[in-house]
Amino acid sequence: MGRQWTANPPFTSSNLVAASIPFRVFLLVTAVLMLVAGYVFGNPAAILSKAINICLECIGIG
Amino acid sequence: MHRNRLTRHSVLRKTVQFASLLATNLHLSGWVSGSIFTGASKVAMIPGLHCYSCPSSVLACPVGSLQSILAAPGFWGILASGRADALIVFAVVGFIATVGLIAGRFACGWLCPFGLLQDLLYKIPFPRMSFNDSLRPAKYVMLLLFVFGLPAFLRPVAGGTGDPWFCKAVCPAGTSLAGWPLVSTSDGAFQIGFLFWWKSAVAFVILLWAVTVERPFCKALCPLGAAWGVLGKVSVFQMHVSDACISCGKCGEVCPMGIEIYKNPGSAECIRCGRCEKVCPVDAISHSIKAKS
Repeated sequence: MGRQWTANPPFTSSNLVAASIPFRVFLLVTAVLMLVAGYVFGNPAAILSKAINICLECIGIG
Repeated sequence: MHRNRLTRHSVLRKTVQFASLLATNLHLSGWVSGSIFTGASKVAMIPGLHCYSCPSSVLACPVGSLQSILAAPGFWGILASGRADALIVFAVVGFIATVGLIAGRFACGWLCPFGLLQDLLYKIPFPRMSFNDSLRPAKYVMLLLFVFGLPAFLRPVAGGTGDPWFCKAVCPAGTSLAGWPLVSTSDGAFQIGFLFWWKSAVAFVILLWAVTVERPFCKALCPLGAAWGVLGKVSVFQMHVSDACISCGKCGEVCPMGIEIYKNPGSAECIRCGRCEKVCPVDAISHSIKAKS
């Protein structure tokens, strides 16, 4: 028997999204940990040195 | 009633957009002196596309930061050896991922300074053009090739420094918000050449495009939008369309990204601006962490 099509969309995201809430939170926590770890173990000067000098490539000179 | 709701929502969104613009551009004197801000706050990043060489910017651009780190001499070697200069890349990737995994392209719709600039340009009375949807995938090329691939792997001299190719060849935010003001206030300190005129032409075309098409750069070219759109598929906050939807299409009429959210609530193009929610006559569209039945 064929599917009954109505004016309502046959595709709501509800079930898919509900099933993946723990996964989505896990991904977000992982990203936050990556952000924090990057600043703790990395050298922020690598960002700062570029940001506090005029970026010649950005302005179309370099 | 829904029209009033949309108006109030637009006022709120513009307020947030301008507040974000102000918060990231506190060094206003830079526009007069032609200098850029050099304070420590520039180690933090903007949730949007905004050049760190903009005279008033007090934060760093995540796209520019990522490219400059990837373009460092021997990046992969120093990353493999665990040196701090390369490990900072995790902070930049983590920042982009965090913003995208919270609410997808929410930052595009509410926080991005270049998004606001496009919104304002589209208010100029001018004949409108339709947008060719086949251009949308170009932003993934920008992300994978110009932001990741070329800066990370292309070296003019073996072992030397790479180039931030997106900044260098494309970015209209850098040209319009940093290049033009700095060059115009430098009294000839910069020797402008082909690259400057190339970038100026690209920026001019994109800005003119933004007068005739709503947010064309976000739709077709923005690498941040590409990343956040993909991450938005698994972001904590999601858009929902309930079974109450009558498929009237009013959401599509007000969507700045030109999508019909009732057909695809999880669209990677959605900037989560919320206009569709306000205009829906049956309140079928919503956003939340949890699904609604």
